[in-house]
Amino acid sequence: MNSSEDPALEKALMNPLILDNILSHMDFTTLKTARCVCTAWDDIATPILGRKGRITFSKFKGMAIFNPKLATNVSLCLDSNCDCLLNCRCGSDPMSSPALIMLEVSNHLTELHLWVGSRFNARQHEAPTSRSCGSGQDFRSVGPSAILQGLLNCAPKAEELIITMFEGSPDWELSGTNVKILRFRYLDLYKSYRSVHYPYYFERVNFSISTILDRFTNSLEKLELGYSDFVGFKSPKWILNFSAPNLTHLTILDADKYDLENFLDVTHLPKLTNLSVRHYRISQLFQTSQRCHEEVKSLELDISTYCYQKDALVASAIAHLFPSVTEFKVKLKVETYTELFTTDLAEAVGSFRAWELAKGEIIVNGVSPDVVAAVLEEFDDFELTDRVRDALVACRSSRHIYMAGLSMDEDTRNNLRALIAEWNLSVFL
Amino acid sequence: MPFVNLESSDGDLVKVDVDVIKCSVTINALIEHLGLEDDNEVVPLQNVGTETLHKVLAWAKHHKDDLPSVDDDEDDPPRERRTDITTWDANFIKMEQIQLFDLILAANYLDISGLLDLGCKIVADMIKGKTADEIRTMFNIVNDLTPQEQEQIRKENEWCEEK
Repeated sequence: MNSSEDPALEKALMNPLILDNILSHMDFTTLKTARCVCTAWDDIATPILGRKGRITFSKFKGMAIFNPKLATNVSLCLDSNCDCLLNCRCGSDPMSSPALIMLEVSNHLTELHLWVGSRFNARQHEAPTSRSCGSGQDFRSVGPSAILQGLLNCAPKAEELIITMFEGSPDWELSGTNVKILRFRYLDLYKSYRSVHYPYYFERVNFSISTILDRFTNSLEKLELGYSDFVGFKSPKWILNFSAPNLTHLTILDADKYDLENFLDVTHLPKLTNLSVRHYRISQLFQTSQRCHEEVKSLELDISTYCYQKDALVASAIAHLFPSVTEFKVKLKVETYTELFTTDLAEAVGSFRAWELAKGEIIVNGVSPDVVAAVLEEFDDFELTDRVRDALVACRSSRHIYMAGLSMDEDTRNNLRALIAEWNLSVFL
Repeated sequence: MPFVNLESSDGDLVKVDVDVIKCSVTINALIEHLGLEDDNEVVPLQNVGTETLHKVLAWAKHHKDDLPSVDDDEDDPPRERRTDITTWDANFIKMEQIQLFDLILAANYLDISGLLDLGCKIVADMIKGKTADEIRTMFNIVNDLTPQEQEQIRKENEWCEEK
């Protein structure tokens, strides 16, 4: 660097802290250009680019040396037959990926995206052209399970793992002792085609989810069971029966696909404090579970109701199953085909009053005026009767009350606005 | 002690309200370590000229009621830099390049993160859209990368996609 005309400029641009700050403000494209300016700029711009970008190794040829600073997020494709997948630009020999030999890269990994498909599996007995892994192991005589496990082992900074399974995926028998966050999901890439042409088709599933998850459970703190395509409407449910001693957060996005009977209890999940569950029918949620979990403090439900009596019973059961809840959020979708049983709905929502909540949120979708009245009357919050008026004034210390999307006549709205102005209420209409 | 005397590298004394300059981690530390107890004590700033010091104080005065920024946790990954610039800041920072880099150096020395971010953002904006050659010309930077290293960077860039 030669900046004799302006010593301040030279001092500033030679100061790594200042240069780092300048480069941190740059967009992705300019950062790539900045790497080409000089050695000092390349050294500092590269890790910033690594944080903002992702490397895909799938068509990785002619690059004998790789800058490990760039590799914080890596997308590695081990199958050439997957042009339907995101971020994949395959076409080359999947078994020639030199990523496997790059210990210096994997040591810097904080994210590793692995796509493993049928072609990789089919070729597991073929001798790869040349390879060794970080541990010095020769992969000529081992199958893909060992390769994948080797990658996991030599990425000590990777604490988050996403496992996506497809039809025909085998159990790769992966295990890990550092994985703290695990997201599991199953995808059926041909679901829409099959639903039209082969409505009675049953997918070939070669693994047990409990067995797969059980190999990570000692270090696991957060688990998300994502969208699952494969279980048909009348298919047996996926049984969860493993123990996770350190798990604190559990999210189940399709609870109707899982059998939770012997899972959601203190024996299997002793440290569970945050539970989030999505289920299409509240009446079937936890219907067979009997044992309560007293450690759960935060409960989030995304459920539907037909406003039947049994929904009210289940709501009451949920309050009993998780008696220590202090933070509660429910997204309630109201499905009504016949006459609305608002008394049952009110009773269902009212069951949750058993908790002493520090924080609560209720979002109701698909509401009619009857439902609003039923829900809000039950919570003594809303309907511009004298009773609701008193309740709103009583809640004036609340920071925010959202009442968006409610239909009401002009007089009611004006009366409500007058009430808000009179008491300076933080109510948003 | 409501006031402190700052001595610039030119030897000029500038009396300033402590409340205004509290945004400077360096000056706060100097006041604490030097044990200054009356208004006549002098804090020497050997790396900041008088003109730049006045600019720093103008910025600090305007921002003295800003909420303090949250300290960076070393265990956390580096945060995204602030990108918004207020109209006042935009007008304030309109200056010659030589003054801008003096101000950036002063903000770095005095450890005023808000002002340093502002200056660095302006420099980043100046660079945006330029080629590597244009950047080198703009800042008189000598290219010390070998052709092999440049080719390697080009290949790496090719395979790096935005998240």
